[in-house]
Amino acid sequence: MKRYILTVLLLLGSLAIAATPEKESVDFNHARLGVWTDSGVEYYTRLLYPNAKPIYLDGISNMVQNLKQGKIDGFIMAINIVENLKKEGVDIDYLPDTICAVPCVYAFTVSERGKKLCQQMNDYLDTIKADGTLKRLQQKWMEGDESDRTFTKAQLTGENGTIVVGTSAETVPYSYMKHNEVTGFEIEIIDLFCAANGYKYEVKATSFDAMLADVSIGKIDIGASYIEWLPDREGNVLFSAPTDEGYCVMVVSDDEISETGFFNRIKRGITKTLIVENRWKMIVDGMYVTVLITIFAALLGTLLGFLVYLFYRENIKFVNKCIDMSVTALQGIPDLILLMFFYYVVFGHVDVNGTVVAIIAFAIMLSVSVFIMLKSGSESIHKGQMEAALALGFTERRAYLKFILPQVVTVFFPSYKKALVDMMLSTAIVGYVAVQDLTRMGDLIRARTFDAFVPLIIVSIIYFMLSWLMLKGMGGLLSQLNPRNRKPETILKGVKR
Amino acid sequence: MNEPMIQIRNLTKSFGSVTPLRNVSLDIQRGDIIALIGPSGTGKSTLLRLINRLETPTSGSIIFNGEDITAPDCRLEQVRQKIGMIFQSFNLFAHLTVIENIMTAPISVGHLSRQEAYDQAMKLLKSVGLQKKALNYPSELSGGQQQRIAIVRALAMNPEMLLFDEPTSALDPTMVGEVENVIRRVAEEGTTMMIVTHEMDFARSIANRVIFMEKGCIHEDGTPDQIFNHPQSERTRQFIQRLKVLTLTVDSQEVDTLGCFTLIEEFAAKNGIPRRTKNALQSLFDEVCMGMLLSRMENPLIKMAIEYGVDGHVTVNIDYNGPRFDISDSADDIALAIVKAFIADMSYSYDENNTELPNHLKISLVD
Repeated sequence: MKRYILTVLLLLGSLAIAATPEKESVDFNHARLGVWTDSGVEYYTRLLYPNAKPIYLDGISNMVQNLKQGKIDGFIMAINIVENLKKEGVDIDYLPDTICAVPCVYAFTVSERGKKLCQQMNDYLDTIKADGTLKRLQQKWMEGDESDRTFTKAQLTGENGTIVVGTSAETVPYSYMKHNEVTGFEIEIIDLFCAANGYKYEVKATSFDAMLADVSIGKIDIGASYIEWLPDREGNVLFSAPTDEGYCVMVVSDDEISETGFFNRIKRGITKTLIVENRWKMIVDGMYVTVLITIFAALLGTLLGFLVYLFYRENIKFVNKCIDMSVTALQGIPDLILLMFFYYVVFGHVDVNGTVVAIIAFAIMLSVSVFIMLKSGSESIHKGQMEAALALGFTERRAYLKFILPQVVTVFFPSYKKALVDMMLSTAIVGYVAVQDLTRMGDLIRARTFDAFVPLIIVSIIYFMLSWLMLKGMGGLLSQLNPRNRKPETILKGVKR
Repeated sequence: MNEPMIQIRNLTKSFGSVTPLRNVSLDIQRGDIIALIGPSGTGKSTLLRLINRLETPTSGSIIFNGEDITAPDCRLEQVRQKIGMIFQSFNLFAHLTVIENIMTAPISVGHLSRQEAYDQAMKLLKSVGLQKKALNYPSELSGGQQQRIAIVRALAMNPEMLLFDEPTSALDPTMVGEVENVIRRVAEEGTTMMIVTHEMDFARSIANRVIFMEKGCIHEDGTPDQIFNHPQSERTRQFIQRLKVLTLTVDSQEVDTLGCFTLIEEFAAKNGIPRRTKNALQSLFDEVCMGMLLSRMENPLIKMAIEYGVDGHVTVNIDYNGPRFDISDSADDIALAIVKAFIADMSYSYDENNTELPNHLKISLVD
């Protein structure tokens, strides 16, 4: 336990140093400017500042973080988003001139269904433009206070089915997390649109890139995260008419550091991260998902690995060759690639919850480790014991289960323990497939508070605690499993001595 | 005569290019106590493991109580319940106590109740003097104790036959006796047994039948008296008397004399043969084979076999082709004088039936 506390303290210290802002004066023609890949920001940055060095980053919160730490000198961003950041108390400023306009649109799948939805959305946007509703919504969400920014959800009848809305939930005020729920300008329009057209909708929060990929394969019907309209984006997805003109400005770091003192910063960070909007609930929800995936993947993976090994013992040449090859192949693939492979390829056109996909993918990865442990563990037990059991009249399988396996279990348990903890930690990547686990929730909070420090620390501490609990719990299990720890009464149960 | 318990017919076992067992046929009668002896790597253990079907034969058959146990549809686990096996490395189940090692099979495979199995196990343990170790784990016991437990474990299944695969080779010399005594007691109860062993005295005293195996074949099969006191074959005699043998072959006029000298040198060094004897062997090769024999032969084939016994006695057998010729008749008096200096006894014979090597010369060296 001491080791864990020390590690946490070390992490705190190093992050505090890293988080200290630093500044320098800037000439944008030769500056480092933050961009997203394949975005309006990148397009206009390269157009307007051909000599600047683009730095590729993901998400607004990363942009702000890098700007505050002086790793970039500025970035182009829609004025409405920037205004909002300033309102939230983020230490940024912007140059007064409007640089360009990148219209904000919805994205649809290129399919019959997508075309129909896109057409319906365009018709609906025309309607609300004409009757002034769009103007009213823009005023409320762009210029209003946070307290005004709510809407009562329409009574949805859903006679025409359900549509899946995808968002990165990072673009305040367009679509973002509030009170553990996705809301925003774009979401209210969708709500009204669904009410008008007889749809129900569900919102899926995922990373921006994953969201666009999901739209293109039809896992998500409408993509909404301040998607910028760009000519060369057409083709992969369909775009609606703009909901907002998207005037952009150059964002720069604010000269004045508003916060003084390390502890004040921490205190404000903790308040923002946990207390405001009951954000601690997001952390708890994320933790629940992480634990859920870990437990089910552990059970399923162990069982699968065990069954595959029993099958392997049948010694069917062709089957064993296949198993050996699959194991080698799976060992050589990064967890993330395998996870995405399952999500986009195997279950690409099946409507399966990302959590289920994550459980399956991690179970398979764990089963590979379990298989290898059983195989090498069984080889480490002297084969003479197997022969002795056979010579007594046991069948091969019974002999294995009764005499070899109990010994293998005690031998490979320490590595099994480590494999389980490793698996739990590597579930941190499931955010890529729209699962809101602990890490992803930390990211979402970071996107709201623009403070990387406190969410990362809290998430790290929770991961530490979880691994510690797992190791402790399994240590107890080991002493239960070790046959040598049995008492004479257990050994000679049912026997009169 | 009763039907034999086991009939082995033309049994061959190959592992890739190695064939440890070639075309072996053998009948085992109920009550036989067979000692399998022979040099290492001659297929004794392979034969034993084939009888228990821990190995699958390449060809041939084994009939056990009228049932072909090499047939693919044979229920091996049922056959094995009737044939117990004791291994060189004991192979006790490391994670189970002594009593569980003995009880598990009778309960799980033999359908005894836990109580019956326990009572039987304790009785057997008492008979080998290890009842106090019932709740110990194998790693807490000496090798001799472990092997006694292994024997008891096999006996608990009431087998019709017991196979012992070098039961005392892995033991400290001080523990060999206790295990041999247990085996002797089991033998007295009339169980059919087959024992692979290198302990000649033990084989001689316990067995009613001794089989000498060499190079994957049964070389000689008889009573202990026949095998140990009147062996029929030369190889059996050499093995029983624990002779070390070196064979040198000359089959052309171009002889690598130096190479043969080196072989004799190495053979002497390996077996601790005195320098004087070694020199005598080298002169014998030089004077007799190279000098007297080779010079008068057109298509030479000479085999010189040097036998070195544990008593330090050296015998040299020289076989060669060509017409009848005794070296005592040689005209080379000087060479004859040189070799006679260290020859204690020499006899010559000519075998007309042996077309390849009719001349035989047997020489005993001075000790």
